[in-house]
Amino acid sequence: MKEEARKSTGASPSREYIGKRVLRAEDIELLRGRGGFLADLPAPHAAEICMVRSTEAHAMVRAIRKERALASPGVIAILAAGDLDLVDDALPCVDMIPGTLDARHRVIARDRVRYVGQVVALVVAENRYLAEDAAALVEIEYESLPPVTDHMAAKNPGAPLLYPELGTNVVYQVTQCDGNADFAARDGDLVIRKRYEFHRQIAVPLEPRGVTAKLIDDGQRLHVESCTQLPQVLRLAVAGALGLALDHVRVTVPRLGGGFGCKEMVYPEEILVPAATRKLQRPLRWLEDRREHFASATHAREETVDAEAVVAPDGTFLGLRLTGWCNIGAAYGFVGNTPITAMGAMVRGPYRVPNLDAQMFSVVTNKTPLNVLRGAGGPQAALVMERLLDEAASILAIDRAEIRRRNLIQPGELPLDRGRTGFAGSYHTVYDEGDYPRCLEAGLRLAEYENFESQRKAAAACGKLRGMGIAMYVEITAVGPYETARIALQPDGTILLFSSIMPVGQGSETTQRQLVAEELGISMEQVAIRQGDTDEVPDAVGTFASRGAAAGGAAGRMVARELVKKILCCFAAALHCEPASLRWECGGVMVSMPSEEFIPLSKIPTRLALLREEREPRRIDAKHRIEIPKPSYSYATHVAVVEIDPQTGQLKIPQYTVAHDCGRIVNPLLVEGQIVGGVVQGIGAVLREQLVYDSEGHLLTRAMMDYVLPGASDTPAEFNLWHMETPTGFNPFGMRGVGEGGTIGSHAAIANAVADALRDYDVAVDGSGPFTPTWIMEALSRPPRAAIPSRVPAKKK
Amino acid sequence: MVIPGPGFADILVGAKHALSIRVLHPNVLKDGFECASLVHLSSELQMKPSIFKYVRAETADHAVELLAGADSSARILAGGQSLIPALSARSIKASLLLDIMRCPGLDEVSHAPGEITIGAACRQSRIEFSPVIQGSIPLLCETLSWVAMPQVRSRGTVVGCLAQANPGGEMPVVALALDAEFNILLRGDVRQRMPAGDVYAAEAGARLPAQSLIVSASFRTLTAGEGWGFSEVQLRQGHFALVCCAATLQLDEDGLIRSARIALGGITANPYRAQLAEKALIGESADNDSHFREAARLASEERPWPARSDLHATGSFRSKTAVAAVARALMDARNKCSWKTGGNHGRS
Amino acid sequence: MAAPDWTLGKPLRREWDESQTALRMTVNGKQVQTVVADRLLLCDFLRDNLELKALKVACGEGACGACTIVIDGQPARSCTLLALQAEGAEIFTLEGLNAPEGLDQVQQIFQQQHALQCGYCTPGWLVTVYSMIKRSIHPDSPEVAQYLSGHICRCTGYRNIWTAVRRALGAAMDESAGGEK
Repeated sequence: MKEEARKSTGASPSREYIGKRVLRAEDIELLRGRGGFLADLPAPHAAEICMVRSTEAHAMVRAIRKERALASPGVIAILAAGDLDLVDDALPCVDMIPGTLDARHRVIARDRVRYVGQVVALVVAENRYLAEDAAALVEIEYESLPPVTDHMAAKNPGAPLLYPELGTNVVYQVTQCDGNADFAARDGDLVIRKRYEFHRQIAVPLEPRGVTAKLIDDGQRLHVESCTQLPQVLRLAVAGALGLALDHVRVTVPRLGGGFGCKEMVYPEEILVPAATRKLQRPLRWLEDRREHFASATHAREETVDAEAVVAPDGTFLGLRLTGWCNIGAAYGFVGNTPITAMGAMVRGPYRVPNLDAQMFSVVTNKTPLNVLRGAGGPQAALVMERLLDEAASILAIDRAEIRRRNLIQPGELPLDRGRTGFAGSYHTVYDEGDYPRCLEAGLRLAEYENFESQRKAAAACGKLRGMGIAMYVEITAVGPYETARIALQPDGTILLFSSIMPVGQGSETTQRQLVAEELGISMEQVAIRQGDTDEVPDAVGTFASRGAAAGGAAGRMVARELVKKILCCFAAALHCEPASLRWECGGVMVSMPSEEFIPLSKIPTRLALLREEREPRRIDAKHRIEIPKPSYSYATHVAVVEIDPQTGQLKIPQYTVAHDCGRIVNPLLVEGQIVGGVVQGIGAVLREQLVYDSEGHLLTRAMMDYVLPGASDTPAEFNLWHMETPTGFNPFGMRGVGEGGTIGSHAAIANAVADALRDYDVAVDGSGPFTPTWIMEALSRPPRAAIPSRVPAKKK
Repeated sequence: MVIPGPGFADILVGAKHALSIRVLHPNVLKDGFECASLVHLSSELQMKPSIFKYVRAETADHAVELLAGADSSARILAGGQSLIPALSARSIKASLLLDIMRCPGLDEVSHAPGEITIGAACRQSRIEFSPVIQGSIPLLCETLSWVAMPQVRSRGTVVGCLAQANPGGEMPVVALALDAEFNILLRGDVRQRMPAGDVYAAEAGARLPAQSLIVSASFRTLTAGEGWGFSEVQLRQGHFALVCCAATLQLDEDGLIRSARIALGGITANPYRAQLAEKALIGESADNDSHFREAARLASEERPWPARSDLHATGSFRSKTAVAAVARALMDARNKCSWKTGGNHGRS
Repeated sequence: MAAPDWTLGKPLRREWDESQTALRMTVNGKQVQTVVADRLLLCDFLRDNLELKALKVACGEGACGACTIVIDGQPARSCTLLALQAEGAEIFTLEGLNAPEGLDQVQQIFQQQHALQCGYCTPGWLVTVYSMIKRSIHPDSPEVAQYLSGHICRCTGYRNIWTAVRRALGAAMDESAGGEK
C-alpha cells in the first residue's frame, strides 16, 4: 500500500524518516518552558499599549477627548486615527471577486464604529496596568445608530446599513454550479427542503495575539513581531499601510501558541503598533488579553443555508440547490468570504450529486469580523450534505450506510471535475484520486456499525439514549498558488532550512526536517530549521489550509534537490570535471576522480575549501519556488456515538471513529494528534461553544467561563483511528493536508448522532446546535415523532 | 435594578466606560430563550485590576476596625479566587483590600458538641482532606470535591465561598443542608451568629451586617446513621454548577425516614431549603425510590424565586434537571444511611 | 536572615499615586525581596519582574490553568492571586522544577506520547502533574480527572495528555515502590 510517488533525480535515499513516528525535537524547549512565544520575548524599553475599543455596536464617533487620560500616571501618548499618518488604511482581503463590494476592514475607526471591540484609539503607557487606567478615562462621544446583528434581517432592504455608500449589507456573492443548474425533480423523486443554521464560534488559541514594533538599522527600518500565520503577507500590509518600501519592513514571528485560522489575518493592531512606533519613535508592545480576544479576534462559522435536495427513489441524489448567507460581521476578514464559498464548493463531499446550483452571500452586520476557523466552511458544508442523506434515508427507509454507498463517487471516476465551484484561486474544483468507498467501509467496520442496534438497546436498558452518526467529507488542502523554501549547507557541514511554514502546534519543524533529511539521505540531527523572518524568507504564502507538509514540505524537498544540484556543480567546478562523473548518493557526493570516494554532506564544505585552496569553508545556498496549480483533497469517514442522559440533558461521546486518507503520511504521530485535536475542537463546537450577542450588538460571551471550551473529560472514551494512504497526482510527493479534517467530520457526525439518539422525538437537527443540555432537554420535552410514511408522494419542484 | 449598597455583598454590575451603570438587562437569544447576564457585563475589556490599597489585617478586630474606617467598596480578601478575577475584569472596584489570612485564630478548626467550626482562613483543600471533617461532616468534603478544581481549592477558603455567594455555588448549598451558622465579628468586639438561611434569604447575594467580618462558620456534624448525598449537573467537569443538591437523611429502625434535609442550588442564584419536600418524606419508606422522585419534584417546584436563565442554561432547564439532582442526592443519602460517627466513609 | 539573592521589581515612580508594599518570598529556591504595586498580579510579578516566562497568562480569570505554579506545596493559579498574597510563601515555577538540563521522566513521557502541540499550555500541565506525583495519586484515581479538569488545551484533544499523565503517575508509583512493574 505504501508506494513511492516521487520522481527520480538520481538520488535514492533510504526510507528513514517518512512514515515514522519521529518525536519532536522542539518539545525539549517547550517542555522546559522556554517556548519563546511573543509575550515571552524581551522587549527592552518597550512601552505598553492598551487599545481603546468601541463600546457601541454601531455609532458615529463625534468626539474623542483625551485630556483626562493624558493626565493619568505613566501615560506617554494617546493616538487616534488622525495621529497615525496612514497611507492606506484598508486591510487586505484576498477573496474578493469581481462584483464584490468594498467592505474591507479598516485599521482604526475614524468617524464610525461598526462593532463592539473595534479599535478607536490607542493608549501608550509605561505598563499595561497604567495603560488600562488611562484607557478607561478616554472619553468617546458616540451617536448611536441602530444596530443589526441578524444576517437574515441585515440582508433585507430597509435594514440599517453598515456602509450606506454601498447601498446594501449584502457585499459578496458567488454563483457555483455543476451539471445542469436548472435540474428539476422527476415523477417519483423525493424533494427535501431544509434550512440549516450554524452558530457563531471563535478559535480561542491558548496564546492570545500580540504585536511588538521597533526601529532598527539606525531608524531606517521597522521591525514588527506578531503572532501571525502570514509573516510575508503582514510585511506587505505594513509597508502598504505606512507607505514604506518593502525592504524597510521586517517581520519576524516566533512560534505560535495555536492559530486555528484566527491568526490567518491582517489585524488592525498589526498595523497600529508599527504606525505608533514610527510616530513616537520608540519600541512598543501590545499583548492581547482574553476579553479583548473574544471581542476583537476574528469570529467564525455563522451561516444560514437553505437547501433543496432532489433524490431518486433509490436514494441517489440528483441535485442540490443552495442559497446561503454568512454573517461576516462588520467587515471582511483576510479570507472572510472563503467559508461561505466553501459551502458551495465542498458541500457534496465525496458524493456524486451531479447537479448543483448554489448562490452564496456574505452579509455584513454589527458583529466582530469573521474569518476562517479550522475547516474553513468545511464543517458547515459537510453537515448540510450529511443531514440531507440521513433525512433521505429515513424517508425512503434505506439504511444510512447504504444510501451513502449509492451516492459515493467511485475510484474510477477520479480525478473528477466538480464544476464551476472553485475558490482560493481556482475556478473549477477538481478532485484528485481517492477511494471513498473503501474509506467508508473502513470507518463503518471500525465503528462496528452493523452491531450498533445492540449498543442502543443496552444503553436504553440503563435509561440512556444512544445514537450513531456517520459523516464523510472531502477537504480542500495544500492550496497554492505556490510555496518557497531556502536552504543552506553551512560551513560546519550542517543544513539550515528556511521554511515558509510557521509552527502553530502542528509540528511543522519536525515534519519539514524529516522531509529534508530523507531527501538528502542524512540524519535529522544534521538539519536545523528557521522560519518566520521575512529577511530570511521574503516571499512565501503561509500557514493555513492544511498546507504545511504538503505545500511547505514539497517546497522543502525541492529546495533540497536544488542544493544537491548546486553541490554537484561546485564539485564539478572544483575538480574540473564533468558533472556526469559525479553523483549524489544517500547523504553525500560520490566522486570518481582522482579515485572513487564518498564525501558525506557534513564534510563537503571543508573538502570544497581544500579543493579550491581556500582558507575558510563557504556556505552553499539554494532556493526554490514550487508552483502548486492544483490543491489536493483529503477525505475521511467519521462515525460518532453519543449517549444522552435524558434526566440531565448531558451528552457523552463514548466512541469516536475516524478512517481517513491524507495521502503520504510523513509522521503518523503528528497526524493522529491533528485528527484527535480537530475532533475534540469539533466536539466542543457542537456541544457548547457559542458566541452570544444581545439585540444591541453587545457580546455576552466575553471570557473563558462564558465560552465553554472542551475539557479533558470530553475526550471520547474509545477513539479508533485508521489511515489509508492514496498518493495524489496533484502533489509532487503524494501528500495531502490533514490539519483541519477533524473539525469538518465531527460537526456532521455528531449532529447525525444526536439526531439518531433522538429519533423517537419530533425534533429537527438542522444545524450545528450547539446541542447544549438545555437544547437536549428542550428536544426531549417534545412529543414523540409520528410514524413517517416510508415513501412521500412525489413532488414536482 | 440592583445597586451595590453599604453592608450588602455587591452583585457584579456592568459599567459603560466607567461612568454609568447598566445592570441585569434581559436579552433574547435565538430560539426565544431569555437570558439575564449577571456577570461580566462591563463594556471595558480590561484585565488588570484598577488601583486599590492592600493591607494585611493583624487580627480579626483589626480587620473590622479597618473596614469601619473605609468606604463601602472596601473588601475582605481571603483566598481571592472569586475576588481577584472580578477585580482584574474591573467588574468590581475596591478602594481597599483587607487580607485576613494571617489573623491569628482564623485558621482553626474547632469542635463543640454536634458542631464543627471552620475558621475564615481555612483553605478548601485542607478541609476537603481533613480526617476530622471526613469523619464528622463527610458531606462537606464531598461537596468540596465539586468546587472548581484542586488548583483553585488550594487557595480558596470555605468561608470565602460562603461570603461570595456566587450564583449556583456549592458551599452555600451545603451550608443550608448542614444548618450552618456564620460567626460574625463587628466593631467593638460585637459578635453575632447568623444562620445561613438568613444570610441567603434574598434572591441573590449574602446579606451580612455592614462592615462585618465572618470569622468562622459552624456546621452541624452528622449523627450516627445519618446518610448524606451531593449531586451536581455541570456543563462539563470543572465548570460551574447548573444545579446542585445537598441532602441528608435519617432513618428509624424500620427503615422509615425520620428526618430529611434538602438544599437546592443553581436553580436560583441563592440556594434554598426545600422544606415542603423534606416534610413530604417523613414517615415514608426509604426503600421506595418513588418517594424520592416525588420529593425531588416538590423540591424544584417550591423554589421561592423564579428559576434563572443565563448563558449556560435556561430556567426551564434548571427546574427540570433539579429534579434529577435532588433525586440522586437523596438516593445517595439513603444508600449511606448505615454510616457510623467517626468512621471514614470516604467519598463515592 | 541572609541577604536575598534577588532584589528586584521595576521601581514605581514616586509621582504615581499608587499604593506599594514590601514583598518577600522564595521563588525556585531563591529569596526575593522587593517592593511592588499592591495591585500587581502574581503571574505578572513572576513573568515580568522575575523573568520567569514558563507560566503563561492565557485567560486572566483562573479558567485555563496555563499560569499554574506551586505555592506552599500546592498547585495554584498565579493569575488569581496578588503578588502580595504570596508574602512569605515558597513558590516553584516550572523553571524551578526542571532537571538541570534536558527532560526529566515526566517530560520525556509527554514527548513520547505527543502530549503537547503548540506547547503554550504545557508548563501548567507539568506543574499539576508534579503536584499529583507528590501526593502519590494513583493513575486510576477519580482525582486524576479533577486535576486535569483544571487545564484547557486547545490543540491536543487531551487524549495523549491522559495517556501521558497516567503513565507518569504509574511510573512514579513504581519508582517509589522500588519494585518492577
